[in-house]
Amino acid sequence: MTVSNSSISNSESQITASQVLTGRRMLIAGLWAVLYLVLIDISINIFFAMPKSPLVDPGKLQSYFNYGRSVEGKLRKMIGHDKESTAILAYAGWLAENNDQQPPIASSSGHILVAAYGQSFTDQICEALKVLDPRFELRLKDGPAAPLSHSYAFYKADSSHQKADIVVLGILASSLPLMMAPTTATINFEGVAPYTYPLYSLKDGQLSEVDPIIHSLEELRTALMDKPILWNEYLEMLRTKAPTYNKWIFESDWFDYSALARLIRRSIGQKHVHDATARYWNTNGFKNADGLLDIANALITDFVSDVKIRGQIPYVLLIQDKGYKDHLALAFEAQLKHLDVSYLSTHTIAPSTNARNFISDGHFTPEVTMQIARAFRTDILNKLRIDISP
Amino acid sequence: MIFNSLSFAIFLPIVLILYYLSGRRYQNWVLLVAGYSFYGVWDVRFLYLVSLSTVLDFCTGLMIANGRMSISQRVAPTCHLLGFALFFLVPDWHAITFQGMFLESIDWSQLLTPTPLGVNVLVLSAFGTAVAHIAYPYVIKQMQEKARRLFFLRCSLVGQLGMLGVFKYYNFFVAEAENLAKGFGLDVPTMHLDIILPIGISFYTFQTLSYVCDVYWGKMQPVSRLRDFALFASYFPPLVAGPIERASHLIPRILGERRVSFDNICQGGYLILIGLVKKMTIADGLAGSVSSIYDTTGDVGWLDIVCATVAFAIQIYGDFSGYSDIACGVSLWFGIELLKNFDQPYFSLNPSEFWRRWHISLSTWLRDYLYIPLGGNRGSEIMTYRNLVLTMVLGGLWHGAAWNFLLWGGYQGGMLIVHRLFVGSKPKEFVGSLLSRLPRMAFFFVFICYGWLLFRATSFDQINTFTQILFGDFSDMSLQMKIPPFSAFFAILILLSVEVCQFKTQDIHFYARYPSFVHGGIYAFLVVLFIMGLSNDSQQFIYFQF
Repeated sequence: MTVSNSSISNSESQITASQVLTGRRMLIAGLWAVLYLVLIDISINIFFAMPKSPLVDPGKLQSYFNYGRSVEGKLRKMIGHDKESTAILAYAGWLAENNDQQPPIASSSGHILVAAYGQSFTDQICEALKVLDPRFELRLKDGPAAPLSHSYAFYKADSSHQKADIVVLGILASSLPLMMAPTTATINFEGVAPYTYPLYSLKDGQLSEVDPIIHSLEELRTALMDKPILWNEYLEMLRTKAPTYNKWIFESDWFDYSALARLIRRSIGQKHVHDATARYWNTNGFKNADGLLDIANALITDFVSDVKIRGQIPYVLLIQDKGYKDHLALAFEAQLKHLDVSYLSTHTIAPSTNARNFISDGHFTPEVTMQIARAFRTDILNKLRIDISP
Repeated sequence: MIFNSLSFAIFLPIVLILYYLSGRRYQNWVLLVAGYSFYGVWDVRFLYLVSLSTVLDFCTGLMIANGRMSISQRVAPTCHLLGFALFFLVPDWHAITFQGMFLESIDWSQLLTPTPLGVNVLVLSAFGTAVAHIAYPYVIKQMQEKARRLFFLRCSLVGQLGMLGVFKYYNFFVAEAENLAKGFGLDVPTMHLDIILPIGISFYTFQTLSYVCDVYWGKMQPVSRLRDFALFASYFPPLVAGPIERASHLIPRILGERRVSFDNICQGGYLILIGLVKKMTIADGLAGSVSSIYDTTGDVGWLDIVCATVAFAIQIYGDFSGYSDIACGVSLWFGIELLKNFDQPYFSLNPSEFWRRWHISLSTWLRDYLYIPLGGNRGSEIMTYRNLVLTMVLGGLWHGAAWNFLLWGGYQGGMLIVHRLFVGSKPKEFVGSLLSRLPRMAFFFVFICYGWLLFRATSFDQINTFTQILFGDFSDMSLQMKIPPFSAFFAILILLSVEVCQFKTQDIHFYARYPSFVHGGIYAFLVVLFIMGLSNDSQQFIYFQF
């Protein structure tokens, strides 16, 4: 076959090989590139090292270059021998350490006592409730980005709600899949919160729980510093029981020492988070993978019946954070209606597809929080048959 | 399989090893099988479409040029088409499931149960090829050369554009017709077909069409062996998102001697690296920010629209030119140079220059196979304007079956007309330094960006709302747009520097002029940027949907 030369010459490739490019030069340039990479790695480790004290907030770039540190590496950085060398975040969310440290809230005339179990979203809505109506008295128990299982376990372990008029369970959409492990760190690996909680499952329709092995900050400190056997036992439990566990992002290795390797681990982590989330959720809603929705419904059912037995009013807040549309409502509305329990889904007030409803850290704006609290208040007061005007 | 995936990172070395180990005789076989595998991984059933496209244009090309086909030239396409129907359409390939990249299970009974669609297509294919074989003696004996050439050109155009029409435009036009009928109060049954758009169909259709047109116009001889033409149609680097290769450019490289030099490897590596940075660090980094404004259901302000639109301008450039760079780089590793697709488009001063720098393989295709056959600028000024608008509107429609693409095409045509009205048919090229170009570049960039607003908008309502805010509502200057990651900002700065150097030197491999330690530094920076970009949420290449 011959090809005519009269083809379209003006669109021919202009990728012209520079004649000066030779194999030897390229090889030398490659060696220079390797040298630069080593220098860049060392420079990042020096100039963007995390602050020595975990009590000092790192800068944005320091955080950026350390997101890829393994969960174990992050825990070792944030938990020291004493209070002065331990990050404040490390104290949050532990069931054992928060249990009953405060006296049960006492009913006083004219006050409406609310005990709420959830996370910062739930706290903010409840606090806005108090701002709106000073008659509300609050008892808040939370964990950073806590999933339903943590809130439920907190409720079970806590007795301070016993005299409350209303007991609130706050379910955050983005945190729901986190209940498939006894720690949020298997998915939330960039901003690790070390607290643990039981891992629930259903056996013959009955709830059963797996003990998280580590129950308090003190136990975690001991495991990390003095008792590697306990730490390995914890890891073994995660490996065998938690479908969202991934050793590459959880367990410490030499990647923690190289800035560029940490960036690579971060990408592996992002992929893991993407896959783990996709296992339980897609743009159409939550999936019942590993029995997620069955377990969640069982926890809600148990919570509602327990609260009702005490003669209190259960209330479920379905908090649809950015991107989750009405997915919690889709997953739980039928069960909540069946249980005849009051609930509020935030998407009816603040659609999660509207970026204006959220601030940069993902929380609702103060105005939106106030709107939700207003609807929440009306609902509660109607339920209690109390006059809406304070 | 996409270029920035783990599966491609495994696929490419395997193909390269097989390619380098094979003698010249077998290298094209390796590339052919690689092409089919690359495309088939996405959806194996659509390999039949690639086969149909290949067979159709292989046969029409020969019939246009020679008026006859040897027995082997007739048997090979028949076997190819029926074989592909039998193997890729009749079995139910959904019976094979994968967990990530690994085989999970095979349901043999489901796999071996013939699918109704596959059987129907197989029967139709057998019928079609039988008719072709029966009609062949009549055609070569009875048809005059001119009539025969025109007949087979039309066969190719109808076949190729018909496939494109069914898979890409049918549902759009049917839906619009239904809406129109409903507007008149008519109750029409729904004629929507539940079909998915085959990935890259616009690219390989245009590529094979260029071959038939060139053969018809006598610009090139037809390819005599099916396997060579099949490789032209399925050569994997540009297969799904371009550059749209010309037969006259790619076929000689497929058939000719190839030598992969060390320079090819290095230049290819650079192109792949910078392509990955453009795609993963810049485009994927900006995607969430653009989406936070264009996909929101809430109110947006002036600043949001401006920032999101500029971000989209950078995103689509990073995404598409990144793909082209990777395709060119990968192809260089096989010793085959592809057409250049981008040439610092945002440095353009006017729409005419923009279309000489943006998606060059499409704009030159449209020029040579649509604008010039329509009459180009050979008639009156009015006819030239008509041809410009028609070409750009069809170019817009090429991107997708949606009104906003038509509108975008019309807008581009309109800009070309206005530019022509101001400067005439032979505008003077701007001569001056990059700095002196800057004000004009910035001025024209505003017009480019408004075009991208039309392109990215999700509805007519959004176009209307955004336009009203842009031109008359400055009350809300707050910024709700999600801030892009640090890596994207950093990479944009580096990309800008690279573009300036390429523009000044007019050499994509400008770095080779510098001393080795500078050269090495550029590589190192690109590697760091690539690693930083790995953390961004991976997005589908925008142009895959076209």
